[in-house]
Amino acid sequence: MNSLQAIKKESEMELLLQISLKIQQLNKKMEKQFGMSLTQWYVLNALVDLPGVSPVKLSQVVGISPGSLTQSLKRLANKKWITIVSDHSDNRRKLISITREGKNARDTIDYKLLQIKKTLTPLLTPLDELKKILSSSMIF
Amino acid sequence: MKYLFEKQTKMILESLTFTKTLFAFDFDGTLTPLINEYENAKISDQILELLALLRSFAPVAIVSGRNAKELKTILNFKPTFLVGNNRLVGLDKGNNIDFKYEKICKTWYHDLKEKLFPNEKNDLGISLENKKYSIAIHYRKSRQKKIAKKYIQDVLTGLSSSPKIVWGKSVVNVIPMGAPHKGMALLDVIEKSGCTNAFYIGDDVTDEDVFNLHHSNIIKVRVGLKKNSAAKYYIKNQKEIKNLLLFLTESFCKNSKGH
Repeated sequence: MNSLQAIKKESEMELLLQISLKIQQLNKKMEKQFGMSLTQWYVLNALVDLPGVSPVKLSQVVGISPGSLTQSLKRLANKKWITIVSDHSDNRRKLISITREGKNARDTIDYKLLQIKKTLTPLLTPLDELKKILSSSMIF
Repeated sequence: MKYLFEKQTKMILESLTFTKTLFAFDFDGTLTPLINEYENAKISDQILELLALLRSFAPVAIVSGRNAKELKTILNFKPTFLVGNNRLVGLDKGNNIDFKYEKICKTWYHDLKEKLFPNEKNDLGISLENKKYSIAIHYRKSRQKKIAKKYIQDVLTGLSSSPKIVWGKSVVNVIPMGAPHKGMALLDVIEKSGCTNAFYIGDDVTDEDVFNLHHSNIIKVRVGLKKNSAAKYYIKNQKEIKNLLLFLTESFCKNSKGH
């Protein structure tokens, strides 16, 4: 690899890192400004179409590990945006639903995110490509 | 089983109105109270109004083992989907398997009629109904229900083709093995409706075919608490149907107003 190629590679990895940091910042900024992080919004969004879903299935649908999801679910339950009940057939198992307050909060944020969504729409294809690359085993 | 109108369970019920959900109801004993003259069963005006309002928000299905033709004449409500004879009306294309079950039931009907009504009448208040893919033997009108039940049990032992016998509330259903049941019918309706979730409520043993479906996207409710039922939730009695429909329609109305 020559020096020009080496510089280019570092910039690409740097860019990737910067994107990751920016997303984390976006998450925190959203929570500060709207009272809801990007992750929480994403989970609520999924829950609208999954009434009475189990945490395992929800984890599969949203692609967040059960451990990380538990923390998000606790925060959402504390804000009364979701309800968690025991499954009648097995008290250890839980069922989750979005509440009306949660849906209203999600709808309000949806409206506020419109501008960001408009900006991101032209970038959907490259973003999707990036997601595929990061998900593939080609990376490591 | 959890009571459907407990605070947290109500939230699960309410969340069904936030997404594409099919609302399906059994007929006898659920939308209408059980009566002796089952041929006179009718949905009350109040429930009718609420069902029509619900149907304006979401697809509504009535799922019944009753004969479809008979259902159409007594139903004073037009649901989005109608299941009669445990088959979605319109899907009954008359395939070979359906004809086989129909033939078995015709044979049974003939045999049972001879045995239950030897002199063309029956003093035990028993009546027979051919539901096309099953036979129902009713003894609700009987004043000697225990004797009627024993008599029916004895008559059934000699029946051909190894029927599945399902005892309900003063009725026994005689079903060919593998014949269509409410569970299969509901899955057809869900597919046809394009809904991602479904709600089903019923009151009898034949509804257990729905309650036993292993689909986590179906909320299954029984009318009346029963220990061994596979339903997850229950309402106390048929009278609470009105509260259920009121709750659902109010929830949809709130959604429309952006509450």
